[in-house]
Amino acid sequence: MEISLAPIIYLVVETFAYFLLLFIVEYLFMNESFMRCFTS
Amino acid sequence: MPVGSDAAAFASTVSSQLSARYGSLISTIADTTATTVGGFDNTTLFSKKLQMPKLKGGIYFYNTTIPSGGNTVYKYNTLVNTRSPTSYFFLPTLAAETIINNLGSNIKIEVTNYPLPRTYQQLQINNTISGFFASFIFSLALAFKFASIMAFIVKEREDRSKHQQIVSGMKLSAYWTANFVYDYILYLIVAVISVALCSALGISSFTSGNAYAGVWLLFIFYGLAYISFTYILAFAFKDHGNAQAGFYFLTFIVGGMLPILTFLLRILGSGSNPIGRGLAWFLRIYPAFSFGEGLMNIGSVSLYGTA
Repeated sequence: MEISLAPIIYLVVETFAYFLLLFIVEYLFMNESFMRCFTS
Repeated sequence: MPVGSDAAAFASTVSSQLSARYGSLISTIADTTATTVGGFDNTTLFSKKLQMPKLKGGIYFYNTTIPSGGNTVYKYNTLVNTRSPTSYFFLPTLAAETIINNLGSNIKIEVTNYPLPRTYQQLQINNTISGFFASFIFSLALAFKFASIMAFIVKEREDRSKHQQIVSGMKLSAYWTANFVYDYILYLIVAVISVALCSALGISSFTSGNAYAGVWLLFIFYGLAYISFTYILAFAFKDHGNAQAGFYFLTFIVGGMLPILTFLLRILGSGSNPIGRGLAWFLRIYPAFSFGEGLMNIGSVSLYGTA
């Protein structure tokens, strides 16, 4: 079960998770107050 | 044999007998210089093999017999060229025939070779090797596809063309979705050809039973997961050339090499097995690893079953 299905299940979850994370990262980079944390 | 005191005469007799019996089907070389089987192997046979690449092997007859009860045991050694699959039974048969005929008979031993099909275990080992190589090669090949995606994304940011599109009113969701759809369609062409090749080339470990559906799912979701992941990692690079080379290398290591490492850890022994399993759970966060490991597992599922 683990051997044959685990990588597929991981990929299915990652499909949604990374697409969501992409928008979160992009939103944070566009967010002025967030980016101000890294500049003096 | 008994070869007798005149080994040269014996060798000549055997040679002419075999020539008379088999004609041009076989060619024999009689040699009486070696006095031990080791010497026969190292000097006589070795030099002959260098001259004759298709040499089947050699038969070393002993000049003594061993009494065993009321019988006499004749001793010989066959030194087989292992690249010839028929030599294993051909040479001992020829030796036995020679001994019997030299005792006054005139017989010809015929051998029929009809090998049994490969056993289940042998087939599983073949499947595992196919899965092993297929996983490595697919990971290697698809790494180029994702590296090219990475290069375009970084280049668009580098050239400020992404910025220009955003200030012109384009929504970020539209930018990423359009890129995603375009890249995925291009990826699908490669994926479909890859799976079709598995079918066409008869990689049975990937195309038989449930494995075929599993391979399709891996290819479909690998693209979906890894394209998004590529977009996220693109933020880490500033130069598209470096991004392409670096990302290719990363995909190759994590997707091609690490699945082999975890596979070996799993099968090496009970001590390394939990390390391999634990490492796999962690590394599957990286889609290329999931893909490589999934293909390798499908190919070798029967080998390590519940390992």
